[in-house]
Amino acid sequence: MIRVMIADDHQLFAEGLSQALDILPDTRVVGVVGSGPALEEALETQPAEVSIVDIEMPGGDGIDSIAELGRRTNAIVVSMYASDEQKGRAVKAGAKGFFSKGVPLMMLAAAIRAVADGQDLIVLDDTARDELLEHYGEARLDPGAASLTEREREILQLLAVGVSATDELAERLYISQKTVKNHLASVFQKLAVSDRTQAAIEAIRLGIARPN
Amino acid sequence: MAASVPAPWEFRVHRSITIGQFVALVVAVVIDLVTTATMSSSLIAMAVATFYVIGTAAVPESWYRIRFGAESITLFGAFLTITAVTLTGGIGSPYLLLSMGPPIFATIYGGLRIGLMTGFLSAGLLGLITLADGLTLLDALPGVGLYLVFVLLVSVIRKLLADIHQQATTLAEDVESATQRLESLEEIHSVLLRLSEDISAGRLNAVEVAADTLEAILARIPGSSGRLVLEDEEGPVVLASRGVPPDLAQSYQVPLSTVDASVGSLELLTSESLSRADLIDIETFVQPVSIAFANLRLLQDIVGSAVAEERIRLAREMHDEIGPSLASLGLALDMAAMQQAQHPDLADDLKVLRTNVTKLVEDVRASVADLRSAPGPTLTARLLQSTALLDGNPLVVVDLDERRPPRPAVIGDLTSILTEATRNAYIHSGGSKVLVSGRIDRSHGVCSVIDDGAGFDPSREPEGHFGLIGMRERAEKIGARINFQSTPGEGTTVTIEWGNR
Repeated sequence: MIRVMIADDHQLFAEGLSQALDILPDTRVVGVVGSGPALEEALETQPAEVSIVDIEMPGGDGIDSIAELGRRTNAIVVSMYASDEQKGRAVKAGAKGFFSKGVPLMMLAAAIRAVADGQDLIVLDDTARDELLEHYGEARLDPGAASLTEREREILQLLAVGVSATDELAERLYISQKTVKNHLASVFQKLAVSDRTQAAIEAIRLGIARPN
Repeated sequence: MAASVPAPWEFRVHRSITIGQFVALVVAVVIDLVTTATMSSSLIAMAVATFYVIGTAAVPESWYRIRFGAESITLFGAFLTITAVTLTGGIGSPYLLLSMGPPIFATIYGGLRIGLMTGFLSAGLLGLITLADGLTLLDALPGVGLYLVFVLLVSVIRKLLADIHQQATTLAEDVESATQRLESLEEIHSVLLRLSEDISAGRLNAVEVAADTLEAILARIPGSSGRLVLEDEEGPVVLASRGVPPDLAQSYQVPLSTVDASVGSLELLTSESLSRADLIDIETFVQPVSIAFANLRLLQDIVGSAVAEERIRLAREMHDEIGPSLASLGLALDMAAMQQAQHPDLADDLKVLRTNVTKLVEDVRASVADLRSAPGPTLTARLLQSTALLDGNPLVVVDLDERRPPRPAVIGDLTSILTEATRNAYIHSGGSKVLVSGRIDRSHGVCSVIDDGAGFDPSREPEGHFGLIGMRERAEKIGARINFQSTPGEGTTVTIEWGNR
């Protein structure tokens, strides 16, 4: 799970981005702030592997803060006015990525995964960057979630749509109730949860199951 | 006085005195012959006096004006006349009147001092003769006094005449310079009228003002050429250049300035040197033009800063509001497409929408970048400057309907292509007019360079001639389409079109 902090003074964009990143299975937005200094302050108490930072903000420039933050977070600049001069500043400050606000969600998600993995995108040209991002196109789940079997995923999908009784699950999957219980025990362990409701929520959050 | 140009009044006085001397001679000879018994001395006196009178009449007037000329002639005259007086009875001699001739001449040509010296010499000689005849000095006094009175009288008259003459000359000069000033004012007035016409016609630009001014000035100085240079923030800019520099030219630089600022300069090359007065006249003439330039600059500054403010406001709004809102909409579409993965048709529609939104965000970004970059000169201004040196024949006219200047990425190449086409037409067409016309907006435009010259057969014209290849390459680089249309004898039209309407 990658924790992301957003620093953008435009509320509509910041909230939209926050919601979008939250529905991805492997990213979680841990804070939204409106200026560079506010980002520095927020990271004091809430660590985040990646920060999405705007440049021009009334409360204080984002790039200045990136330089201040150093290794405490991996910064990706996402700005409306992405000029070469601003990009140069971002490189100097130590930002790892540089995108326009028009960037598609999947590309930004891939970039977040890449910088969280220690990659530096800002030094690459567009072609090399896009090639690298292809490797990060898929969500990286926790080892437990990644090891779920096909049958376990089926059970989680049924839990997500509200089928939770053991007999009903057994009937739907044409397996015995004993087998259902065994699968559930395995799922609880892999997802580190203790009941069927938590398992359903976690499955939805991870993108393994859909609630409808 | 000795080497000055003779005034007309001096000729008249000279002639009057010469005639007066003849009359005095005749009267003296007649009186002497009637009253005197000693014939021999009378004849000698007559001969000496006649020699003097004819001599002064015969001596060219210019001899008086060479150095010591007047002094020598009058000194010699004084001896001759006093000799005649001595031979005919001294102080009572009939030649006494004639002996006043030399001092008068001396006064006229040499001034009061020389006149008095000659007068004293004659009077002194007369005094000596009187004493030699056994008479007292008292007897000589009337004669000597008469001399001095005469000399003084003549010198006063001379001074009066000289003053009047001087006043007349000054008056004539005043009238002359007033007339010239009036002509200058009329020309200034006409230039100002033309300026006000230009303003009301909405076509006031520095290049036209400069061309009008330069033509008006050069028309006043035959065989001259010149340039009008404006001091811009980025250095000097030649706004207009007219005429062919003459051989062995004199060079002049007239500053164009207002009370508080230097605007530029007018550089002139003339075949004949200009006087200080000429230069002052030219400076007076260009004064309103300097003010016009300064006002133009001020106007441009005001318009420029108003435009700049508006650009900043727009850029901020796009950057702070429109752009992020669109970007947020794009993210929402991404999310929706992800969530609708099990409905492929809907997901595809959402992806198309997302692509459009991405393009909108990029457009906003480009506009913000454009708005934030300093606005450069318009295509029209660039062409006017690059073709400013192409004057006269054929006439180059730039008439572009330019709503907004083309994007910074293409404006440089467009300027080069159109300048090259205009130069070609100017140098090679042999026509009477080259017209650059077209309609331009920020992202698109179409311009034509049209001449009414000889034209050529496009199928037979070797490529590479007139830099056609270079123009094509430039056009290709900026994604513009260029077309050469020509028929022998019917002129040439080069058309360039770029962007999508």
